[in-house]
Amino acid sequence: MEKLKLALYWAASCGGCEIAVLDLDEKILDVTAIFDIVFWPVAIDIKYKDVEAMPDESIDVCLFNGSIRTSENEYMAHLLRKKSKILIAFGSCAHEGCIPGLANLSNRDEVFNVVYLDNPSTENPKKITPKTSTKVEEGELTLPEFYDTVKTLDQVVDVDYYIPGCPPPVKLISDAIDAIAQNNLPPKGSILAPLRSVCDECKFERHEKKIKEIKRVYEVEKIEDKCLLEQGIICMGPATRGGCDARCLDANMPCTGCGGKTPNSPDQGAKMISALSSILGVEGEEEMTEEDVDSLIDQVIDPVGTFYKYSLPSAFINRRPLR
Amino acid sequence: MGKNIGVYICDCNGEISKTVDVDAVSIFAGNQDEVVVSRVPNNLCSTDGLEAIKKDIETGKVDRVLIAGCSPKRYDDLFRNAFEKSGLNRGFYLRRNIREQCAWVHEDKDIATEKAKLLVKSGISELKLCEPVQEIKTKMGRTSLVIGGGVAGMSAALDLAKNGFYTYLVERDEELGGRAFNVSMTHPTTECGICCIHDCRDCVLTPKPEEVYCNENIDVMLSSEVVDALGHVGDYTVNIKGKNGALRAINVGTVIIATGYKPFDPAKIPEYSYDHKNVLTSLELEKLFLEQKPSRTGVRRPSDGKVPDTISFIQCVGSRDINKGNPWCSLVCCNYAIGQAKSLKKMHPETDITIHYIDIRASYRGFEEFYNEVLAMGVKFLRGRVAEVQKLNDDLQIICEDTISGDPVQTKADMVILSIGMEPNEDTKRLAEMFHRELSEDGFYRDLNLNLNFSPEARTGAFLAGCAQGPKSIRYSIADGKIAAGLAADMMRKGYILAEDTLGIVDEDLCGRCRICVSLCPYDAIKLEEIEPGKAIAKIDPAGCTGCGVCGAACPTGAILMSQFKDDLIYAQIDALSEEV
Ligand SMILES: Cc1cc2nc3c(=O)[nH]c(=O)nc-3n(C[C@H](O)[C@H](O)[C@H](O)COP(=O)(O)OP(=O)(O)OC[C@H]3O[C@@H](n4cnc5c(N)ncnc54)[C@H](O)[C@@H]3O)c2cc1C
Ligand code: SF4
Ligand code: SF4
Ligand code: SF4
Repeated sequence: MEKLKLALYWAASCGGCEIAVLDLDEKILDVTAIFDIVFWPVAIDIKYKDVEAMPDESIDVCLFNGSIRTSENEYMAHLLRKKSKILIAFGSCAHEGCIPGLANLSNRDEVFNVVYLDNPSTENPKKITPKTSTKVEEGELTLPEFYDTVKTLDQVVDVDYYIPGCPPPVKLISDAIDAIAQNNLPPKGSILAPLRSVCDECKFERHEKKIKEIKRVYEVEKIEDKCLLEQGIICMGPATRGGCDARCLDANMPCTGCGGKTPNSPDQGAKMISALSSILGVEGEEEMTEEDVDSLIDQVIDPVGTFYKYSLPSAFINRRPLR
Repeated sequence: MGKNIGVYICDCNGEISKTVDVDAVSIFAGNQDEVVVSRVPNNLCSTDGLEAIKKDIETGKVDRVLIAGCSPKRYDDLFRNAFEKSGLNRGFYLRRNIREQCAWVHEDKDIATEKAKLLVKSGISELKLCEPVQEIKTKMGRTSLVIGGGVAGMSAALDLAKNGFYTYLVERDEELGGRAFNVSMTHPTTECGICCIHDCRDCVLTPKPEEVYCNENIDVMLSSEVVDALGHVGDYTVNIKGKNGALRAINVGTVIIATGYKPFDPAKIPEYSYDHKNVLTSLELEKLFLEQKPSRTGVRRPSDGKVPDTISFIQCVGSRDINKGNPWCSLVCCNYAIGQAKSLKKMHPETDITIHYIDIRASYRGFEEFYNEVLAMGVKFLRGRVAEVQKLNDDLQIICEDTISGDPVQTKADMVILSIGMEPNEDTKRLAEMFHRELSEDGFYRDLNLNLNFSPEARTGAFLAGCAQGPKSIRYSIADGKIAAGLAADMMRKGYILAEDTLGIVDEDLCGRCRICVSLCPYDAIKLEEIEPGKAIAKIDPAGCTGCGVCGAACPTGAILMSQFKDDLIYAQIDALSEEV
């Protein structure tokens, strides 16, 4: 049987997704048995022009990781879409925007300012920041345009499947590879992960949930053997799609939400906020003053970073207003 | 199935059409997809108006109906039932409010009309996605629990028992009877039908503890209290703590709350010198009446046993007093004070009796006449709230202003009687939570649950009787007990109830078992169900669920949806409302 053609690409991402593929261990041999890797910038020496030269839809499967934050990312998304039969948003950045997406709380100028000008380890007296075009003696140098707003892959091109996670758990990757190999993929648009939330895979015992205060992990002296939410720690598990075997919980750390929203949920952060506000301070609710309620809520340090750590670009409200 | 939407715009006899161009709205609606009929029938809620719509349904012309008119809180049952009779499922009938929300709040006709169009459009988009409502049959236990063995509770229990429903009666005290059994008369008017020869206890019209104890259909639990209750209408499991702390669990279909009231504590108004021996509450005076009854020696003043020469009644103690008491009128105090004055006058014709009042509220049949009769007997009425009761050794002095003459008044009294009012009983809030009833701002039970837009009894199976629901006299408390028993019996007779499936549904494939929802349900309708060992998912009991939506908002996975308010339906409306018309 002829091998399937596989492409892997990284856009705005940390590189963890690439490592996750290598994490497959000996399963990587299956991958090479089934696939010919035709494009994978991190591993093989191949140029964009080679991809441009490929016939349309000649790549069987493309695992695209990273969000879209530059014109280069966007160009490659379009290019790989055209060249691939199946385009998979691989990992949280491509799926929901992830950490790079938190940049939607600021804009290009502010990002450049922090990175190139106003930070203690940078010396930049000429105040040079990246420009899309720079004239030098030898001619014109160009750089991709850096956008104000980070987007998910499916906000730019049509996406066939999603593999969630930051990075995707090995089990989900290997299940996806098996499904591809056996031509056993679910309907287009599916997320290749279980339907239920992280709680479903979590080891902790759970009981009634009515909580009085919120604590950060370091404020809890000893983690008890019960649901972290019940101990006052914000755990995004209930609002997050499982498939990770609740590994963070295994290590007594709360879920921070990288699996993205659950099937019927339009907005992961909103769902969690709604759930948390349903159980926070419900006892004695009637006696509470506005100030009491405010001070309860003020215990959530960094709300966007807590509830939208991985999903800001795909949320209902997906960025700070630009003006 | 095709979607043939009929839109009917009501002009409400000009109420709507004076600010909304109903014809324009109708033309607009008629141009929307899948709308086959759009009309402005005159006065929709009239027989003619309804007939027109029913005809469209019956001839198969329309199979979904949108009514744009007054608030959906009005005539909802009328419309639903009429359309249902014509063969329309309840789920396919919707309302939009263009009267209160458009005509009555806008002056500008253009604005009101545009808004009405938007609302109609959102209704059409919702109607396209609506699903039929199914009726579900759920258990209705044929036993009842009455809490409180006062006149209201006893009368309810006796009526239930008479109708063949086994009834538990839980009374906190050591005996039945409640407050009425510590008063000497049942609003003694000549025309009330209650003769007043006897104590209330012996009166023919009062339900008797003995009758209750002997009834084989009533299980009386004295010195007992309800500890907790789980469940919902038709199926409550109630734990009751008996005399020596023994616990007993019973299962009932309905509950009647008849826990009565608590008398106002006059020590809260120090100016009235309640700590003085000769200052008594009306209830304490009743006790003196009862004590002297066998010997007929009349009332003596407590400090020295002398026959009082002067007695002053102070009305509205703790009632109609926003500063030191409660804002409401306790309804019975004027009448019982007049009755007590009459009894005293009969015992001691020489005694000078003054009633200090704000207004005399001699409502109920026969009381105005009764008031006049007592006036003719020489009982004085002095208008003006008493400022102070001063202590002068054994005697007392009343300081007030006669608000009719405007004169300041200082009178001596051998005895002072405080006509105390009623307050909600201690356990009211706890029981309300247990049986899903709401309290009003005054702390008595509310007749209507505000968050349930329908009869609270139907959804909770918990009925109210007597003073638990607010101040009333003995007669009306007894009548209340009978009404509650009748309604509860009606509900239990069939042994099942039909409920609409307008409720929360858990998608079992999505429930992550976080248990956030379980303890939040105000109606205890969410249970855990093991799907495999150690894995229990949330499951909503349709019999208990009222569709309030609390769990749906809390469920972080989106596993819980409200069957008639699914997200797509709401998004469709938001989309419709956010487009230009
Ligand atoms: C000073 C005064 C004088 C009055 N005089 C007259 C009069 O002359 N004529 C007249 O018609 N009306 C009079 N009334 C009004 C009369 O008392 C009431 O109308 C009547 O008692 C109401 O009956 P009920 O059954 O609703 O409540 P109650 O008589 O209060 O009975 C309630 C019963 O429930 C029990 N109970 C309470 N909580 C619980 C619980 N959690 N669990 C179990 N049991 C519980 C109580 O022990 C009590 O037995 C007077 C009221 C006052 C305050
Ligand atoms: S909330 Fe977190 S700790 Fe609690 S059960 Fe869910 S994943 Fe586990
Ligand atoms: S909140 Fe949602 S996920 Fe959690 S138990 Fe309830 S239904 Fe299941
Ligand atoms: S909608 Fe949910 S919270 Fe409300 S009554 Fe039903 S199950 Fe309970």
